[in-house]
Amino acid sequence: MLLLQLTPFILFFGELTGDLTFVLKIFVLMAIYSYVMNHIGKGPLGIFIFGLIAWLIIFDYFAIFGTIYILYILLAFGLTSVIIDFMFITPGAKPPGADGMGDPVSNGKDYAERQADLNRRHGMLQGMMGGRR
Amino acid sequence: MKQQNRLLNDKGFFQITLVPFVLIAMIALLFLLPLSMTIFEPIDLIVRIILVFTIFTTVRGYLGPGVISIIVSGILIYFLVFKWWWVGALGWWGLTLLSLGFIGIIVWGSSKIIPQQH
Repeated sequence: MLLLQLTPFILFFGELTGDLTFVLKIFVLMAIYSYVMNHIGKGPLGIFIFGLIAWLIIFDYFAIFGTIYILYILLAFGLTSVIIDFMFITPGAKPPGADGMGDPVSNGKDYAERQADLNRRHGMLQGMMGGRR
Repeated sequence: MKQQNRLLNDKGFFQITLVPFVLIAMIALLFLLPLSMTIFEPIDLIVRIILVFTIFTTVRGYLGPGVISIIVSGILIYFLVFKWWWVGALGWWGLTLLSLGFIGIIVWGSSKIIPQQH
């Protein structure tokens, strides 16, 4: 009974993944064609190498190369900057007072706090040295 | 002794940590376009036209001008503009936001709103 109710959803996702895999294969095929033709040209050797690479990537190891292609596209569009942004804003650095390198300045509030701390230390130092020189 | 509710903050609002908030904000921003396309017909038309242009330009960049480009573009346009239009719109919108660096604004802006728990 539950399987009958879930059947439309299963068919929907099956059709979706099948179509999107096909679209992804077209994009990968175009990328291979463009890469090989730019390097070797549209001669018989280029077509042979294109066919060989396309066969290996599309039909033999698409689970690996399809994933790599998606990753490549995301990295080319600047996913790394988003990951770096996450590293800046999330905790995970050393606790305050511990040895090692401090956190990079993460935002304006952080900068203001550091500046206030520096000013406070500077004032203490001046106080220890007897005020103004 | 009153036990503090970890899900609510001092003012009684739902408390959420930074990373889930950023992820939810990104997903909401991504789904804004398909939602707008469903609600407003002109946006739907404009985005589909942009998608057709984008797909054709991309394919022609890969394969060069010719009949093959038109055939491959037609196949991709059928799948990404007509059949699974929301996937095509999501993909284009996501890559556009990513390439323009807009996701970074979401990440840094969220860190201003949500307190960081160092």
